[in-house]
Amino acid sequence: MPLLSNLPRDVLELIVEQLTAQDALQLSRTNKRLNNIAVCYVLRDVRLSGERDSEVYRESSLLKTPDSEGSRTPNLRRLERVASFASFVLSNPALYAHHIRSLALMWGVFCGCSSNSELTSGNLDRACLCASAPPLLVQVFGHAGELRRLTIYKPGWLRSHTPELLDAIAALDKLDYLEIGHTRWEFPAVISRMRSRPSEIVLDGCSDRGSTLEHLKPHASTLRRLTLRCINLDNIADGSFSWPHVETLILRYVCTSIPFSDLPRLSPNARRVTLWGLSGSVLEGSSYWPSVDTLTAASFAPVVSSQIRRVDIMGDAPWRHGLQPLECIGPVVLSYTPRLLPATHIDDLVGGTWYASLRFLRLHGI
Amino acid sequence: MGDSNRLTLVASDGGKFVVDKEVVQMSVLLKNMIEDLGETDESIPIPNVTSPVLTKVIEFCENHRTDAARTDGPNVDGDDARMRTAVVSDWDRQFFDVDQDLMFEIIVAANYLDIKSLVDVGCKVVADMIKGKSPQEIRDLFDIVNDFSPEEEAALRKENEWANDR
Repeated sequence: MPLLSNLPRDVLELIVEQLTAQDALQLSRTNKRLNNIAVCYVLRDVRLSGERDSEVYRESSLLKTPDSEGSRTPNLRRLERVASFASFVLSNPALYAHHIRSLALMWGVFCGCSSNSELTSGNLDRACLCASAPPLLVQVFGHAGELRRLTIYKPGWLRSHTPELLDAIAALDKLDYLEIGHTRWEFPAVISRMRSRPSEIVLDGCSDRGSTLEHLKPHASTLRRLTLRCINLDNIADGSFSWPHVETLILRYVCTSIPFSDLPRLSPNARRVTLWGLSGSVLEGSSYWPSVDTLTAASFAPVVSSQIRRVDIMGDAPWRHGLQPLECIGPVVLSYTPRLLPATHIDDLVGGTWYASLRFLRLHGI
Repeated sequence: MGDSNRLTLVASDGGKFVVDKEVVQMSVLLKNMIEDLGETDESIPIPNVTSPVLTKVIEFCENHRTDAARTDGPNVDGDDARMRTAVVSDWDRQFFDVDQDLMFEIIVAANYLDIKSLVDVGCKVVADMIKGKSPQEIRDLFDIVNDFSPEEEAALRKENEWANDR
């Protein structure tokens, strides 16, 4: 009679695929054979995340208090998890590392531990962890050749190990998704020397100086989706450069001197575009962008002068002249979420000539 | 000549089942076998599957015979994705409301016969039984022998600490 533990491996893998990582982990602890199968699944999607910034900052002072039983801070527990994860993978990298498909080091996992000087002499455990976790993690990258998705936020804790980490990331050749956030300029710079050709890149709050699109040049033939968030973007020197295959372009809180008229040239086949909270000379003038099918606009957005089928306006009207730019756009579907609906906008809504093209209007959150 | 739309399957214990070809072809293994044999009156032996299990497998296939026609067929990637995410229907859940021995035998037979939809549903039912349980509860439910030594269990807990708070 078959038992769960002696079902064929391919069947057990299908069962494990239906479980959450936590349930797979519980199953892995029942029996050696099930452990062998379930742990590999747990490793596929590793997410080492911490509390949100506010909580981390609130707790950061705890790092300076001496260790004692039961007083381990969330920061210490996060570092323990990183060290534990890396030690586990490195205990048998040939067996474990190639199962890692997605790795996310999120939020302020290591915030507050960026400088050894923050550690008091009594915090031996913390000092050891702070010292051992980064090189172990860098070693994991060296073995994770099947990594497809990588997310790194606030990697400042790596400090002196940053060059090795960047070399390891550059050597990966199967990354399809890369998201880096709250980093210094050297992280975006690694994109230009990556062997991988990801289809999606997210840069969020990167650099202490202007970022440059030059880093993205080698990926022009593979990039399908690009998100730039909370960055200062330098103008691009090469006027002939473009991302011909980008279908989704998201710009949120980007300050740039790139003229808006250059964006349709940079991304001539973008179908879904988000323009949200932009600043700088990009806001000046308007531009014809015929490939766009769906536009999401909020806060300050430049004016698109071509027809767009679907428009989502988040918050109050993103344009200086209320909803008037919709005259050029002529949306078929409009979703509008104003915090307030001023009378002038009501007039725009019911009195604009673009109203003739509209088939669906969704007003919400008023 | 017999009915060309039906054929006979012979279970490992000699039990014979006359089944519509359309139903049998939900099994990729049997579908390929029929294509190789061409028109024939010969019965097809299923040496790894007993009569009670084959009865259940045929019951499932007869109930789901129109599924493949409704989609692009069981081997299309999109359909695989649909099966992985779909919720188990009441009928399927009731179908698997049998003792564990039979449940696992059905899954193993479906895997052998390459009936993807039946394997998927069976795996989902088993996964649902595992969800939310501790290692000991899973062992008790499925009669799993704990082959870890206490030291190995302790080491396991320690080396998997990183995954605990996911």
